[in-house]
Amino acid sequence: MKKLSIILFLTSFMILSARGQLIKVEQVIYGMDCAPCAYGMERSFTKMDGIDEVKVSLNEGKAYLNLTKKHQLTLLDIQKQVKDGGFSPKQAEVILKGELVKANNQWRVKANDETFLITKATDSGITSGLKPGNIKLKGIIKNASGGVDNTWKLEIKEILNP
Amino acid sequence: MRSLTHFMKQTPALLLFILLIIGCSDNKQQWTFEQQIKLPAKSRPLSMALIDDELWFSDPQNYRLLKINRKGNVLDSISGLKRPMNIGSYQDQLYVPEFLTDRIWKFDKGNKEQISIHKKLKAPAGITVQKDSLAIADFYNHRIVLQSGDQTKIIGSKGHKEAQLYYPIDVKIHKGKIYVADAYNNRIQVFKSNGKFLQTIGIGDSLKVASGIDLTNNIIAVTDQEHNRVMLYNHKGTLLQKLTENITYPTDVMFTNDTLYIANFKDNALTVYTKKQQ
Repeated sequence: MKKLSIILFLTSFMILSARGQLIKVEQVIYGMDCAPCAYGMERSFTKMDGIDEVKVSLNEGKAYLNLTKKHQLTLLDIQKQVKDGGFSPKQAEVILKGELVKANNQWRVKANDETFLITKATDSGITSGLKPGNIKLKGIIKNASGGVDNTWKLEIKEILNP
Repeated sequence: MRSLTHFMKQTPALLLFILLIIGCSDNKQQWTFEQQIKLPAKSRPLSMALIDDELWFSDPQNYRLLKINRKGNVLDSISGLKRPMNIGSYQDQLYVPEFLTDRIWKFDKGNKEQISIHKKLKAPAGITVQKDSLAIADFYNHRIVLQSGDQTKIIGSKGHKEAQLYYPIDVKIHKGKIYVADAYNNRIQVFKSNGKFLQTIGIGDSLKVASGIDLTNNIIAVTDQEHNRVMLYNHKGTLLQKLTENITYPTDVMFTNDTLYIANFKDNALTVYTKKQQ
């Protein structure tokens, strides 16, 4: 019984460790025209579970988010937080890790409960080197209104070391 | 003959009236641009305070306060502040509201001390101190917290009507009255220290984000942030002058003697106006 418990525990741990997730998000935010606007957004991000570090730049109109090592946050959660603050989320640059699979000739990465479809805008040199399995990458989601059915269109900018 | 006598009797009154008109006209156009103080690159001055005739400004973008001379050279700094907003000073103490942490800090000769506030703040945006009283613009609570010793008074509540506030950013205490930069109601509101509403200033002048305020015995200055100007009123609320020269996105104003300093948040510079000598 004890051995079974250990096996079950280790299996769960491995599954959780392999589960993809966002690591960093650089979110463009429209409408933050004033200091309290930007810093208010920073306050609200700080209160979210899963955010390790956040800085909102009024100059650049961006939020820079470092996420915790284990979290359940999705890009949709982050963009909803922006909208709840009264602003508009636009382009997002992300670093994420997840499982890369190919289905119907379409590469996709699963991270938490979201799917990132790799777009044709991705450099062919990167695309040609893709293989199914765990991947860590940096990419851009240009369309903030994506996220339908938890699916986004992502252009890979760089494959990172795991 | 009777007409001449009548006229002579009226002359002093007429002369007095003419002098009054001239005087009033001069009061409306007294402040003129003197200079810009260019600040260190990338700094964003949000508010100012004076300690021993030395100028401090808050730079929330860079999590710090800087002390400068009149040429813009940095003399001292206080770092590691989590978005310091509209700072205040009293005697030789500096008071700093930290927007992200809801804390109020007092700096006294290099010593940092947290001020205990008896109400839970939600994004303090401005602070003013007079003797044993302090007033805080409690931004997300849409109110002013007025604390004197153990006593605490709440002034205002969320809204757009008279005596209500909507995202107040700055506050000043002057001769027992509380002057509030009721930023997103685009006006100034004045209250007694017991919370009783006294007056509104700026209605009808198309202010857009009244974010900073300071006053003397004669003049109230308020920043019209989105219109890149500073409005000067008398205490009755009459508009005396609109300042526009070399002003970009002003977030704070500060009077000292016959000088008015303006913080240009998006221009990393302070603009200085002086009273025209008559």
